[in-house]
Amino acid sequence: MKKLRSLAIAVIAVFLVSGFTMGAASKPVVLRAMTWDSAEGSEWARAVFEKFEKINPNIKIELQPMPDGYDDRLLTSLAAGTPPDLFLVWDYPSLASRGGLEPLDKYDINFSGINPALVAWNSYNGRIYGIPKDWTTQVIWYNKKVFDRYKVAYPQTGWTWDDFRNTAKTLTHEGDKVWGAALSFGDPYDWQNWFVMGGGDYLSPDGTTMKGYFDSPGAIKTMKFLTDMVLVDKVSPSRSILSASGGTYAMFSSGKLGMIHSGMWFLGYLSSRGLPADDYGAVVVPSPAGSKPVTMMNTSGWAMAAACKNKQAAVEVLKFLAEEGGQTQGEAGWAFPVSENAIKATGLLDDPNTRVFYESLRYALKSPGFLRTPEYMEKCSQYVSEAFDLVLLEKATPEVAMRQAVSKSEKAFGR
Amino acid sequence: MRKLKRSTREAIEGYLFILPWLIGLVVFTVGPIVATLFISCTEWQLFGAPKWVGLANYVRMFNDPLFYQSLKVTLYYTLLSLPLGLAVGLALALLLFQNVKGQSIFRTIFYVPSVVPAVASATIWIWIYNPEFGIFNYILSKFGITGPEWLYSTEWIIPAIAIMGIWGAGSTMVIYLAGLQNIPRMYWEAATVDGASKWQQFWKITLPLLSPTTFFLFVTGLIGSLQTFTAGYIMGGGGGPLNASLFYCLYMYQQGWKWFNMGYASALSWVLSVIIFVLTLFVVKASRSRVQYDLM
Repeated sequence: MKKLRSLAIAVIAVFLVSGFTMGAASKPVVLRAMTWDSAEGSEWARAVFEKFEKINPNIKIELQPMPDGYDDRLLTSLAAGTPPDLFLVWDYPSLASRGGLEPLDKYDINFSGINPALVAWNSYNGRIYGIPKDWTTQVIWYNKKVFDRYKVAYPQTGWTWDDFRNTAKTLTHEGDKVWGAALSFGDPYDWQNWFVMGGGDYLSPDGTTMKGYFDSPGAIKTMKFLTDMVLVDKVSPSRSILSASGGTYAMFSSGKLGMIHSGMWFLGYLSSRGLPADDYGAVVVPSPAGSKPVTMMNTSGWAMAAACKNKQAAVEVLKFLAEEGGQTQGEAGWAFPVSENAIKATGLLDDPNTRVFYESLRYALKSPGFLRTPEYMEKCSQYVSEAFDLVLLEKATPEVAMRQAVSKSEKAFGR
Repeated sequence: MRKLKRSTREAIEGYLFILPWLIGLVVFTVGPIVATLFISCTEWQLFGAPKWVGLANYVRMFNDPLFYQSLKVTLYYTLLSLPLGLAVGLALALLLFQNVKGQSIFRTIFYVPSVVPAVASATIWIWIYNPEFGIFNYILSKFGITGPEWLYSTEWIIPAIAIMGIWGAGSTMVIYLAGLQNIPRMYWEAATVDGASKWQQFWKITLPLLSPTTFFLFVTGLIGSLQTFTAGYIMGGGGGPLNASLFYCLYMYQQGWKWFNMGYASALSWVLSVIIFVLTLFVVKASRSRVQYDLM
């Protein structure tokens, strides 16, 4: 670790020196933009930036794809005070609360064309910190072949948790090694909407406590509902089977799984393997009878470093991204562009599957846990994850596991 | 100009020759080490100014259940893997020390796993340990044993990682082989003439004369296993299940890079350094009378 750190400092030092020489007068301003996509995956960003450079010949954008160790690289460069001018972020609080990000609402950037839910997910503490890049909601994907094989009706929007549970049970055929639905509890991130639907939550809206939320009757009921699928109904493959079978997508696309809770990336998975998308359907997540669905979203955006030395030029780029960027970003068809106009232009709304993601946007969780406090990972998420593990390993009942999670979290919050 | 004394001049020249290395050491190793000592006495969230908090980070450890958990995991792993690795390495070395056909081929085969990068071998072992489809439980089932859940079980993940460590016994084996080659053959020949059995020869000659090698391997192995990181990071998926594979270095990484508590992470790293130092010192002292450098 020590060696790694010193290496990082050396790299930063080199960047620092080269940064100074590049900033010499009369030459065009060079901005560094870092992305977590691979070189191929960031083609869309390159295209957008090239379009920008054509209109603004005095600003050059140097795109830095950093698919490995993105977080570590970003954090060390922020710590050294030499961050890239623009970079991708999804976890805004942890950087914004420590003064790493420049608030964007004080500049003359037009956000009016972007869905307010997206702007909210790129904000923290009432300030906007990122220009949304693209987004996907999470839906229930279902494999039509599996449904046809067992003559089960396709799910319809407006279905309930009971419907979901029964569908999963009817689909499960132990002898055929086919499971109804996968609940791969890797990251609590993907399941917060279920807890909110069930009348609970991970933590309070102000992000200061889990007490009264994660140990509420609604949350306990939800935990029981989700884990019962593994422990009681046995409609979900165990983690070891999922891992041995190459993960959820592999099992789902090979007809071993009926339903999964996931985003639009699944289309990217299918296309990268040359599989047809027609065999799959998408539907809004089910909700408890009598209540509205709540959907989880994944989005990220371009942020500007507070330490950026060419703020004026960077703002020009961000303005352009807010108004023009969306069009190109949605072209791949694996995520939605951010502006309403761009969404209409992509044709994603004409496709019966992709339009479900757009329909789900109106049910998007208002403020996900990680946007409520910069200490979410340390003081909330790890204990949620622990509670899931305790229940799934049958070491504790949901009530006990969740009460324990809350008391540990309370201690971590210093109470 | 006064002429420098010859010895002084030589000293200066000497230092000039090692200067490039010296600069590297000071800037990239000593510097950061000293810096962490300072950071460990501050509350520093990676960017922004560090806030001086004195020894608060060290005090915090006493009340941190994850600190104890990570320490427990690391010591338990060391206790299992260190003797196991030494025993297997020695056994392999003894086997390959015999005059058998294709000796060098066997040596290569046993050594190969040690050059596989840790991340790659961890990924392979995730497959081997899979409770449903893995080869390990398949073999056990042939003997009528129902294998445990291995990496998905809080009780078995550390033993599983320790067993995996045997795979890397190749480097231990090579060093033991070198140690064996250093033992003059006449000792064994004399013992054979006197009618000592192979077993007696092993306990009375081979093992005592290998003690410097064992000592070296023990100390380096001790330090290495206390710094384990990859196994918990990859095989436990970040220390799981339920922190059963939360190795000390993994916890340090989490505190510093995931939770932004750089000050606390630095304090943790200093405590680990002290633990390693004390343990090593203890081993050196305790072994002084047991390590035999020569029979004569």
